[in-house]
Amino acid sequence: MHKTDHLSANSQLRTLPLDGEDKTAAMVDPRNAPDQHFIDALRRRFPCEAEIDRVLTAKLKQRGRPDYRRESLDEVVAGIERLLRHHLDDEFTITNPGWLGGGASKIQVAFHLDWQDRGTARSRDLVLRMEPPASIVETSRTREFEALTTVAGIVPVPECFWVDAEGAFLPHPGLVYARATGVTRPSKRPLGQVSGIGTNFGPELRPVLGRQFVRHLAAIHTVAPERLAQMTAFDGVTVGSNASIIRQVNWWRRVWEEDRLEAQPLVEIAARWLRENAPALDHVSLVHGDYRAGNFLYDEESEQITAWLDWELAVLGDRHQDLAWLTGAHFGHYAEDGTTFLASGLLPVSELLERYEQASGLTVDPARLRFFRVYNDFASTVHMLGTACRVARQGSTHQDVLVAWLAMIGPGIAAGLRATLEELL
Amino acid sequence: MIPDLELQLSVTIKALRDVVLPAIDPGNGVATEQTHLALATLGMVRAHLPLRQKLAQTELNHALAMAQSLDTGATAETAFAAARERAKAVADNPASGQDEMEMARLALLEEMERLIADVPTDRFAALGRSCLAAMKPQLDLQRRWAADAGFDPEATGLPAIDEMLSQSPANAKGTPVSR
Repeated sequence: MHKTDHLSANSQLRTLPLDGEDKTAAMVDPRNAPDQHFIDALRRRFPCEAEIDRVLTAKLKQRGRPDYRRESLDEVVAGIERLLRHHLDDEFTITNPGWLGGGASKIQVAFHLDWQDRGTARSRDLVLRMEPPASIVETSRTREFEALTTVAGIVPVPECFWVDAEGAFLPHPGLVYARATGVTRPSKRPLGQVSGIGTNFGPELRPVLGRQFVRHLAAIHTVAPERLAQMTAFDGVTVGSNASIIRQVNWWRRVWEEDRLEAQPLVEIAARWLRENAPALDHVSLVHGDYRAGNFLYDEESEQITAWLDWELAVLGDRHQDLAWLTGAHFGHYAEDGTTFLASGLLPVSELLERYEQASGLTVDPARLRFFRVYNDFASTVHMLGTACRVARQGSTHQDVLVAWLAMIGPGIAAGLRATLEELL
Repeated sequence: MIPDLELQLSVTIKALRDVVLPAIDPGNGVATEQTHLALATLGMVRAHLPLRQKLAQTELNHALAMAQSLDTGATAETAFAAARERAKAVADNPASGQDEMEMARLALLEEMERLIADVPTDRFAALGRSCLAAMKPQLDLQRRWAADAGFDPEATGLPAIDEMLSQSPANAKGTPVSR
């Protein structure tokens, strides 16, 4: 018996079967169709937040069901109608529904809605943001909804209307919010990578967006504690304790154990180092979790950021998580001089951090920044080398080819993680 | 003769690029993006297909080198030692096929991850350092393999993939990564 409550002596060897392959032979990997014993062992071994546990457990119970079939637009619209009938007393009209691109993990449908809100006629362009059967990151629509409503009025975000946390009305869990206007990248510049990675805004626009980028981040990180306390889908966190950070490490270590197609000692080394070196929280912040170019929209004429999107990875935690993320190598690029690295393609790292300290009144601690650089690389390695490969192989997303493409960012991130850990161990 | 894999791939790429892509409604961003990615993916597959056997051999050798870094002498009778012996036998057999090599590698990786999880705290740092050093050639190989995706510009500074696949782990050269 191994000391770490490993899942099974036979929890090894096989990946998912390919078409025509012997499926019986592939069943020796319990991750392909997890049973209750497997799920219970993971929940014991890697305790995490209650809502995260709920979502991950649901994911495992869903796995192994018949292959993904993308719902037709009519089926999705029928689901939206069921959701609206549940929330609205009066008649409503849905017009112009259509698939919306952008984003790497969620299905999005744009539509126009006319409805009555307590006797007042309303008319809005809306977006349904719905989970596919499996996703590159498995997250909670309730948490995303709460994060968005918490920062409404503090930073620009789409107005949130309704959430279907467990897919009671929609084909899968989803939320409905206002369709924000704007672009993620300059329309006249060449296309960059998928998902907004490495976006080049150009030298004139950078400082304008960069200042807003920092100001919004500072505002998110300093949301009042009373407001944060209303986020019921998030477990409480405590200043002076590192328990919440260890819980976050457990979250992604659990996901690795659930999703990986092959073992990777690097992930276990990183998880152990993170648990043993987790700093105590010095301030509780709402952390966006994916704060970078590609996840905000801006108006090309006014050059103002119009909406912050993709809050699905939000946590209550340490601001350095976002700071380490947005200054990461894969989200930025070098300026025209070839030597100045621009964090998120916007500002030199030192200038960005200096502006952040001024705007937030919070300090930037290099040791915490380094810790969260390891944490972020660890989590990204799990997403890209674990989850992305599994869900693409299952064929259970609406854009498997994009997910498999994104997985190729994994080796570079893992190599960076390895090099950092080699210095720290 | 029947069309070989190279021919089948090249005609599929041509059809997607010259016929299907221009016919897509420009307003359908999802279809356009996925078609571009499908083309790029097929291009990578075409380049890598002839290298699969060498890749399996090299990756198995890398896994064995990593296992060597974890050998403390106290693991002779463990599942780790058994997986390592099995992998070594497969690697030493010139008749081993890709699937056999891959199965042996996966089993060995499984035991190495388990061993790292169970190592006592006082030995973790030393064993971790040793393992991290040993896994560099494998990560460099993966970076080079995925370099054409364009996410890791420095990966193109690594030796060519043919060269990396013919190197023994001990002689593998790498390049630093930015952090």
